[in-house]
Amino acid sequence: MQVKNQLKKLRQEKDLTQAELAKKMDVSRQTVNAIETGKYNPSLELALELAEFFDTEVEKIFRLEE
Amino acid sequence: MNTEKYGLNGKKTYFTVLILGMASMVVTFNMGYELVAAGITITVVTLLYLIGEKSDRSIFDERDLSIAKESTHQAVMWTGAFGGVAMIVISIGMGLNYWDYPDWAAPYYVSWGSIIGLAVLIDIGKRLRGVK
Repeated sequence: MQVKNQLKKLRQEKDLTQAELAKKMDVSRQTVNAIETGKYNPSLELALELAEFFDTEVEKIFRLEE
Repeated sequence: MNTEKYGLNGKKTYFTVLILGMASMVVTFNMGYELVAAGITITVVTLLYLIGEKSDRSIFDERDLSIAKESTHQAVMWTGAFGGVAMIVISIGMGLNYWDYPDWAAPYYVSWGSIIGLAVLIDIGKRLRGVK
């Protein structure tokens, strides 16, 4: 199973660059890019922070896919 | 310390200081200036600490730490696998009287054993105190 996410879509809806989102989350731009491209699954803490930032639920950003 | 306005982010500054410091330390030590090398090491460690403390953002984020953990895990695994294969080859060679116990093997196995011993102690500590 793989974790898929909607981070890029949510970020673009807020008209943010990867660097801007990275600064708000206190991570590097490379980390945001790695999450968006599925190369890195964030920690539970970061996933919750992202959900809070986008005012949504974690399951709406990240989901398991066969 | 807002290093970004000078075109340097925290990580670049950190690694620039680390690499220049290590190179300077090696050069001065090999030139016979051991005290200067020790002074450089102390200065570099202090600078790295200050860069981390004064940076307006985290130098290393969770992905950096995750990659470092995985790299360390794989390095220990591959050196262990090498040690296992080397030990079998050495034992067979000694058993067939092809060679004696090589001089390089003792420090290798002592070092590797010490690292594994330390890893086991840290593992026990983490299990007792919990992992966050």
